[in-house]
Amino acid sequence: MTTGRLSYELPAEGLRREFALLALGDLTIKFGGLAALENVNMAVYDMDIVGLIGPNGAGKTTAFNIISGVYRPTTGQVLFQGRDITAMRPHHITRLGIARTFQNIRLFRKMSVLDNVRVAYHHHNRAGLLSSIVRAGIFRSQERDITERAMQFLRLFDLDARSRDEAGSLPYGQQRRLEIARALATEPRLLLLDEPAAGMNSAETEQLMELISWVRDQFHLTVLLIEHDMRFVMGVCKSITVLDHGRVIASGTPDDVRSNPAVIEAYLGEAK
Amino acid sequence: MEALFSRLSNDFVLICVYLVLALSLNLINGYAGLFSLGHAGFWAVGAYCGSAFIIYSHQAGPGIPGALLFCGGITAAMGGAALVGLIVGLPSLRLQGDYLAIASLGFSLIVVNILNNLAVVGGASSFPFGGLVWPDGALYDLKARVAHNLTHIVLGVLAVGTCTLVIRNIRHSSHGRAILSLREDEVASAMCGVNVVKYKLLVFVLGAAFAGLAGVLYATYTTRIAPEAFNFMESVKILLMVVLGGLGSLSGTFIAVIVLYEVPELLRMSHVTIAGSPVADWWVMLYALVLVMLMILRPQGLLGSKELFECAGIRRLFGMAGRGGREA
Amino acid sequence: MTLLSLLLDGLALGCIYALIALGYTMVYGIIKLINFAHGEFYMIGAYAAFIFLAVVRTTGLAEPYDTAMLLLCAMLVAGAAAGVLAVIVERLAYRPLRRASRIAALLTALGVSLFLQNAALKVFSQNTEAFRKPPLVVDRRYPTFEINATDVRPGAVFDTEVFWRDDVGSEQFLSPAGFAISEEEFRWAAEHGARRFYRYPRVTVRRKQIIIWTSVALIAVGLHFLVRHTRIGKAMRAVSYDFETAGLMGINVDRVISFTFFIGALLAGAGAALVGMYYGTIKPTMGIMPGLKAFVAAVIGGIGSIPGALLGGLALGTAESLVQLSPITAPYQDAFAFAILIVILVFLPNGFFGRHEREKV
Repeated sequence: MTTGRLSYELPAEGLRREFALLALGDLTIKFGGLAALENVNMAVYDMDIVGLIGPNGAGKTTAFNIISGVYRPTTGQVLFQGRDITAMRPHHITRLGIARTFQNIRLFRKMSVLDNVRVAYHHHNRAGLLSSIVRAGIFRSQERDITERAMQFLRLFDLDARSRDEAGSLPYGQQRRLEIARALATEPRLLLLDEPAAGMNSAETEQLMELISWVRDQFHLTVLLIEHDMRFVMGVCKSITVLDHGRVIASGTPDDVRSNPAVIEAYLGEAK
Repeated sequence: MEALFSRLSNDFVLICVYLVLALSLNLINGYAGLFSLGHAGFWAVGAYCGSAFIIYSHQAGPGIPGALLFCGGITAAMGGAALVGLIVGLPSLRLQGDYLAIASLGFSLIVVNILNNLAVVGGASSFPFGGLVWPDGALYDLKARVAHNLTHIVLGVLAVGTCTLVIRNIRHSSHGRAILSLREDEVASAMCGVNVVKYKLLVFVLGAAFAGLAGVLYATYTTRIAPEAFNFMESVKILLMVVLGGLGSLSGTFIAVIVLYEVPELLRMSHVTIAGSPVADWWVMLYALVLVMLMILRPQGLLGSKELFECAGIRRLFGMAGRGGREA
Repeated sequence: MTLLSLLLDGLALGCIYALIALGYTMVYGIIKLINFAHGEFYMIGAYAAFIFLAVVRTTGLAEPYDTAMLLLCAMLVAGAAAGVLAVIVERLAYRPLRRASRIAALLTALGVSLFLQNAALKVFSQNTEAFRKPPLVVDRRYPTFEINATDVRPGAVFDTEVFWRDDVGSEQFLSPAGFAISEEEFRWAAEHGARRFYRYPRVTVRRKQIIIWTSVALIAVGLHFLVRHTRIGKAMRAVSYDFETAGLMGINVDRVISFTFFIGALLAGAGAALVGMYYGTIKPTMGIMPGLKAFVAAVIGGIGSIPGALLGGLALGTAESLVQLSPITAPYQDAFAFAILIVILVFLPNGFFGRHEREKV
């Protein structure tokens, strides 16, 4: 299969292509000859909550890394709002409106909770280096602005009481929430969540499901998430894409995917 | 009286030089977490650029007033060092941790090697220019020497003040938070929209420029410089000052610089001998021992990344309420 | 100096870099520490060999003072001294820091290096010592070509240097290449019983070079055997692959690490004994530059890789000797080596043989 740039067909939904917020076209990435992803095509539409599932080592996090610019794919391209972002550097992609969280929480552990969120506000800062050094008026008003908005986010996530504490000192659940808050503070259009429910009990997972739906509505976001907890995925996602060995083996509504024989085999095959 | 003044002013100026060096290394190493082992290289570049500018422009136009020459020297030193900082910063984009340390160490050795063979700046022998800014032999004159020392005390205070203020203000700004986030987690920081390349280079350029400032101050004060003065041991010394004070703590750096500079000076004056040789001879060994013990017992340094007035004990001492940690 | 003779010299120097680089690479492979003190282990090895040979000579323990055995013993003593020191340093300074940040460990290594250097300055003389090598290690060159005695007469011109052997049997220089043999020189040679005249080709191999090459080759083969075909070698590889898991599998990780330090320093110490004989001088600060250069060699080969360290050492040694070709570039030998270091680190951070590692996100 050759990579026909821009002329790839998206499975079943080719007509909606131009409306896709995020489109992966024939994405392939090889690490030392081994393909971690092979010809992955996928589309994510505005305001959807999309699940990306698959057995361990299927290439889900690799796909996130390519979308967010950490890895560059061997072939294929990533379109965001119709724009080719394949070769862009991560911070640039973030500024265009993609934010993410990590499988193993990656907070700035030695910085305060407030500062974690304020860093995410960094690219809205208009005060240049020089005006920061001489503490010009613009610096003061910008700082006030940034702090205020960061505190708003903390309040939304019920973290404002601990704004001065070191991020690393928070309990696990709060760290997860802070990471989502930090991602939201970059003001994204698309939020990538890498196993947000990992390590949570069922009550916490329940809360998180509500939180994600609420965040989606509140911020008019599109969410793409990786998750192993099937109850979580089936409950919150509108559509699901299944990866196995770097290939898309199924995609559709939760009900379609649940009954798809290829998916059942991929999961049961893993259990053997 | 005269000896006391000359000793005190000498210590003061040199402490200022080391303060500027340690503070600027703290920006690179403590705030941005970029482990540099070659700070003496930037120092040397600054000292030589500044000296070369002063000497050669004095030769070109002997009438140019000293103050103007000195200002030009500062510009040349900071500019030259910043340029070299930019070049050294480039590997930091690809390298991390100990690999970067080794690359920067390699850089400082290259600088000394080149300076040792560069005839225009005197090669391996010293590059004197005291006699240009001050008329020949003027430094043997008491009045001129007092003036020389006083000038440099003022210049030193100005340099340290500027350096502290700039670094502190950057630290407590959006740019500073971006720099701190680099130290914590580079990938996450890029995901928050921080331009990693820009800030790494900025930190190196700024840190190198201040090291250059320290260089020109040192050169005009001592009136002669030689490549040997900027060897690897100096880089280690500056690093030890930063690490002892605490990576990311400016007040800690002040304490550490004064302690690490004054203790060997006092020991030298005390005429104490150990095993038949003056105690100053043992100082480097003691230095090394302090470094090893520090890493084993308290790797975060005296103050960690906090400032003096953020430490709980100090706050209690001064009867201040509230928890540590500053807002802005 | 011709290109070829420079290369031969560089190859010998490269062998020494390779020996030191092996220690760097093995320690890095196992605990990810750049052991700055390695150059000082090397220096201590040189002093151990120096003291050993001095004792042997003054007490007359080894007669005749001219055997390959003595050479081997000197290398072993040097290696053992360096090895024991390395084990002590590891135990006291590095082990408490095994779980600390790599930066803390690196600074400690730096501290240890400075400490040992200055301790050596105190204990030994600060000056350069003449290393009295066993007579076996001479500058004798190979191959030699006999010259017809009748061709050697006053006024004759040879295109290469001419030597003769006197009545005691030691080598004497007669005339430089391209110069006529003077009457005086010829008469003096004849008086001292010159019978055999000979000359060397333009490019020769010195005996001490051969000694270095063969020793290093044998050591490399031995090390390969140790790492690939012994129990402890297997344990070393396991620990370098994954320290935690190796511990869970019942390997005594501490002992393996100590052993690695010992072997690494042993090689450096043996190398130092060879260097003492090659250059004929030692001093307390002799470890700094070769230590740093050997680190460059390890990086070129890919740090953590044993064949990489060997080839990296040889490559750096020969490359440095090429810099000597022109008087303009010659003073910048050090800058050249460190420029290579930076270029390799930036563009080929895993060297030519290192394992490729990608940061997990």
